[in-house]
Amino acid sequence: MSLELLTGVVLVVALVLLVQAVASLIQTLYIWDSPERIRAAGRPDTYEEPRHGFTVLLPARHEAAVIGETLRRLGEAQYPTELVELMVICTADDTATIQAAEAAKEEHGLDHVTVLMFDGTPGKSRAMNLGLAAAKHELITIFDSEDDVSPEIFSIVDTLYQRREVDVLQCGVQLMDHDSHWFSAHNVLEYFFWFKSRMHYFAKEGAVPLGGNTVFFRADDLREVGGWDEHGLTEDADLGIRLSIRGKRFDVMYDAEHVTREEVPHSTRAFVKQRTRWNQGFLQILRKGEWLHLPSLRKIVLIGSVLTAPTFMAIVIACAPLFILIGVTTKLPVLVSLLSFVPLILAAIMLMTSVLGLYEFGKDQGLRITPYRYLALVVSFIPYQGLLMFSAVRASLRELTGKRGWEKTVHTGSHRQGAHQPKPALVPVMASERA
Amino acid sequence: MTTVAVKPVSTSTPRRTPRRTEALLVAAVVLLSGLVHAWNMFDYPYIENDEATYLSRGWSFVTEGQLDVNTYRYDHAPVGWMIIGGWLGLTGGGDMFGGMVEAGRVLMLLIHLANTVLVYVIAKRMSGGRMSAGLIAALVFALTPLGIYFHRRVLLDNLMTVLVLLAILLLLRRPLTLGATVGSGVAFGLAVLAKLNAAFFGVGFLILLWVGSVGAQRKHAFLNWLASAGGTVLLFFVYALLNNEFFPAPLDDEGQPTHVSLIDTFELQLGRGDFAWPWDPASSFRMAFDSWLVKDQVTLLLGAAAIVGLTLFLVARRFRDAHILALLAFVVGYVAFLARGGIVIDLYIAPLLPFLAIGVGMLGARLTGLLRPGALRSATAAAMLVTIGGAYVVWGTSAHLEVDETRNQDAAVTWIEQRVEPGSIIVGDNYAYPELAIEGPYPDTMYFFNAEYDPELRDVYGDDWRNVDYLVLTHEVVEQISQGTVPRMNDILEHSTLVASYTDGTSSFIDLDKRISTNGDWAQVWQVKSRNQIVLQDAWERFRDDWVVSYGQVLELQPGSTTSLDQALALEQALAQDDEVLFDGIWQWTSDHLRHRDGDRLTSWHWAVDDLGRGELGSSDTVCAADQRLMGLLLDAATAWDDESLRREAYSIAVDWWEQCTFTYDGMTLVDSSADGSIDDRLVNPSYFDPVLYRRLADEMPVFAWDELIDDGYALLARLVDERGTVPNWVVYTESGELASAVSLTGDAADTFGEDALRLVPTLLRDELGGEERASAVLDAITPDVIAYADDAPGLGSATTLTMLAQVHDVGVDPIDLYLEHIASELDPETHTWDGTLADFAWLYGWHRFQEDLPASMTVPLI
Repeated sequence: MSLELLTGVVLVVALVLLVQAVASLIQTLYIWDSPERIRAAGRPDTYEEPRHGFTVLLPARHEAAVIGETLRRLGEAQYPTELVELMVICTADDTATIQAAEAAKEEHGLDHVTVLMFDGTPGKSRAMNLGLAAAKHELITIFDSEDDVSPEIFSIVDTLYQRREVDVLQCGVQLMDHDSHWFSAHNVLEYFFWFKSRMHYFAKEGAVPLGGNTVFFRADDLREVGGWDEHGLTEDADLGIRLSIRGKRFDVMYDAEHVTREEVPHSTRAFVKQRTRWNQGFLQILRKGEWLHLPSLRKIVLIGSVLTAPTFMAIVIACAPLFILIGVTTKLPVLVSLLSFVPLILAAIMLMTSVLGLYEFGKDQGLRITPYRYLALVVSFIPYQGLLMFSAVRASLRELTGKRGWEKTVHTGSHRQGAHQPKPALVPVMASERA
Repeated sequence: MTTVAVKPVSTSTPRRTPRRTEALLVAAVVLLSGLVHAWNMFDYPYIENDEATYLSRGWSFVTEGQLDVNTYRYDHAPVGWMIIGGWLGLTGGGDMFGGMVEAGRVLMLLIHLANTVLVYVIAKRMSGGRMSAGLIAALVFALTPLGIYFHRRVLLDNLMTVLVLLAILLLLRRPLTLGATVGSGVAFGLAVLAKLNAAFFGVGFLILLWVGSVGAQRKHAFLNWLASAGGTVLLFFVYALLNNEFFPAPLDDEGQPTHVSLIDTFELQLGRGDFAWPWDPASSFRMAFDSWLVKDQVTLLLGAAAIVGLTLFLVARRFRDAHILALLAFVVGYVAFLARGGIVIDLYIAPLLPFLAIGVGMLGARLTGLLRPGALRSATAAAMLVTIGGAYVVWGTSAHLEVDETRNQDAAVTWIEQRVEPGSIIVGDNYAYPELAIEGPYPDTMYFFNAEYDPELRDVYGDDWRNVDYLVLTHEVVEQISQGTVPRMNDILEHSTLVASYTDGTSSFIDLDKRISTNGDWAQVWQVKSRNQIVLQDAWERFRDDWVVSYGQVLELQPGSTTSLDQALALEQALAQDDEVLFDGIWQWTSDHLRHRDGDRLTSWHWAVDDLGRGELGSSDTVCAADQRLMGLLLDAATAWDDESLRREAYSIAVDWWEQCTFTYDGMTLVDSSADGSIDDRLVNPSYFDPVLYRRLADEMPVFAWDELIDDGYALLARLVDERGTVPNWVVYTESGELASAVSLTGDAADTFGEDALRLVPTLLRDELGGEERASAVLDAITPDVIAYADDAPGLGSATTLTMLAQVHDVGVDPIDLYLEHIASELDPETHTWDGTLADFAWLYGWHRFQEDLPASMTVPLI
């Protein structure tokens, strides 16, 4: 290979990395850009009189262990029950889950709980599409069965729908157990930055790869776009893109107190599986090509970059040995080398931003983050990137070889130990420190 | 329904000047600033060395992608001249403004305008939006003569300043965004990379960051500012690393690093100059400070008053005015740099001036802020503006509007363009570089500092300064030479002749002997001497140091004697080297000690000194050959230095010389060579015959019969050749008109061709070159004797004489070989001169002196 060609390749890779790193930093820091944005991103200070009705979709599969607790908590929501419908959706053969749901309804007197059973292939998207068809309220939302949801969430959402012009509202979802695994702090921070800041950026741009739960839709909008894609692995992001194509208005609310709390995958293996699924899902969306119909080039580039980022990084890593070989054996023009050094600086800034994020996360959630955790965060930065790369490569290979099955993550409820305390919204968080 | 017009409550909100009024006022100040800056900006101040350095580096960057014209040595970070290069690229080098320096100064005008606006906005924002603060600050910035002096120059400091001010402005954005913070960080990083001392402004930025950011944003603001500034600066170090020029290079055999390195250069620069407390009058800070006071007292006084006043305000407000704190941090940080005890160059003040101006504006606004908003307050602010403007008019200098400091520099360059052969090697002040090397036909023009140190450039002149052709001497070169930083340039200056001097209307005190110059508004061109002249000059220095004692005695301690011929040799060199003082001293000593003969004013030939250094006349006899030379030297000196007394001395000697040193017999007038000066024996030393000297004396003193002396001398030589086949050392002209042996009088060697007769050769060669055929005949006759004598009696006398002969006549030997074997081998390469006895010296000197009289085609290339 000639030197010019090598130089060209390195230059292109460096430039793309540079642009991506800059874009990523801009999105990550979007909310902190000005005090105005920080203020606007939170919850409203006062609530309006309840006006909107909510149908909560709770797709469940073999979740008898947690579904009752989830219903009990949702039942505690400070919102008129006649305006809320809690719809557990599961296959008819999942009797354990059905019984657990019915038992909870009885035990806690939850009249607004309905259980929707269906036959045939189980699947979250299918469950939700069925739920959508049966929903009786105008706003639809989804919670996972293991989610900790704020009791004030309906008041907040109702208020925002009244005050702002909004069609789709993504509320914050936050992993909590930042110290449960070597990778959890990074995973927690991904959620932190994603929902606290990056989502706001996407919402402003009008092109949003939505999260899987605590998203609120107008039922009409969902019906208009035909509900969820039952074949994709990341039906949530897919739906977001389709709503974006229709020009729906997005908004995001992240408030430390009112985030939906989730847990980090219970092992490295589970993490890789989950991440593989997401990355592969992105590839599927990419392949479907609907995103190319987004109304502006800016949106296409934005969504395209989100969908391709993991794969691109995987390719870069896969090519790393080649680049090292080039670096050792040839002398590239100094300016090219200098340029390829810039993304490295930006990666360092990203790492330092993560450290700050961990501090803020702790402060937000009232957690004490020990110095050791910061050190661990820095030390595990590169291994974590490696894990992401591995998942991305794995996803690409699976997609290329046609393995498109679902690798489900197991939930153990480690984020909600001490679940029977009177104030569940806060206590599990404190408990998670012990986990 | 009725609408009720509610008048807004005006007391709580400050009275706002309409935007149009503000725009007009700002436009007026900026226009004033531009006019004061632009008027006369090409002519004042003189073009500083560095200006051309940065321009040529910028040009090199934009045309060749190089960071320097030659090897980039990491002496400064390159962002400054990258910007300059961009500007030159945009404006087509010097095409658009009639020269590169001019183009650079136009860029500085634009920078200055930008800085004026920045000063206005920053002062205003740091004073709660008070327009008066901005106007006062911008006015001070526009009118400061110290500022104008440096802001007009193409200096990295000015580019650094605009970047620093931009970085500050970005942090004053409200609300402060991270985008602005990152922009500020990058701008500050670039400022540091334009001029590293920008780093001393750093603390002030941290205060502005603290003040500007809010709550959760603050930590991100700090992180991103520090990271973007640090990351930008880091790239410079990474660049050095990637080039493998970060760490010191391994040393070569001579202990020199094999390539440049950032660490080496930084170490060198940090080690420059000794530490001195800033209040030490001899410290470089104090000297710079004094020079600032001379240029501009008003701004320094105003600035000092502002700093004191703002500090008082800060204390009175219990430190609750963060903008004052930030400004003080900027000023104190930079002053700490100036007063750190290291080298301070006068231009270092430039980046501080906008901050002093902003401080004055801030104080003004805070003082008027003590009044209620309204007409009185506005009037007070207006009065301040008028007072400050008046202060500059009354106490400030107007030199920058009137004086032409570049005229002499331009003239020197023009002289070179008209007189100097293209392709010549020219070293000197870099101001001439763009016009000579980039725009003109002298690619081997070199910045004197690089010529001294850059191996690449030293190769151009073969690492031998004697190969340099011209030196463009200016204030800056003189200053560096006087500091001892450029010893080669000192060598060049010492071995050059002044060929063009432009000092018209200079305000500088110039004493080149003492290496003193006080201003740069003059320029000279010096031509480096030929190698032969350099040898002669160094030889004279050696002669003077080793043998000239007292006030003009030439004394060789072994054997402890002074001779009239030695004195003549000293006078000849002093005259050739234009050393009038020593010439006078030597002649005075000669007169005092050797001219006490009874009856004439001729010179006794010998003064003896014993082991204890006590001297006395060794012999009162005269040597006529010495006297005739003295005569000639006195006449030449009289002409050279316009000294009639010397001419009169020469005349009085001539009278006695003709009386005592010549005899006429049988129609032949010859020079008598008897040691006592008597004419009784008619002893003749043929080598005393010097027709070349006689022809010159004939022009000066036509009363004497010089022509006869020449004709008869040649007749004698012809007769000797005819009768003896050679010219002997001595001969006796008997009463019967025969040429008899002188063996009985002067010893065995008298009849042979030897050490004395040799001396006739250069004399005859000179006369032959003047067209004298009789000289050729004699030379042809004695050539075999010269060759034979060189074989029989090898020594400097025979060798140098044979070489001279071989240069003019074909004697079957290559003069270059002779030179290399006998003459060059005597040369000490360090001192460019030779060791050895006075006699050896005289022979070698004679050969080199002879080269000066030869046409170029006959000279040999000297090593």
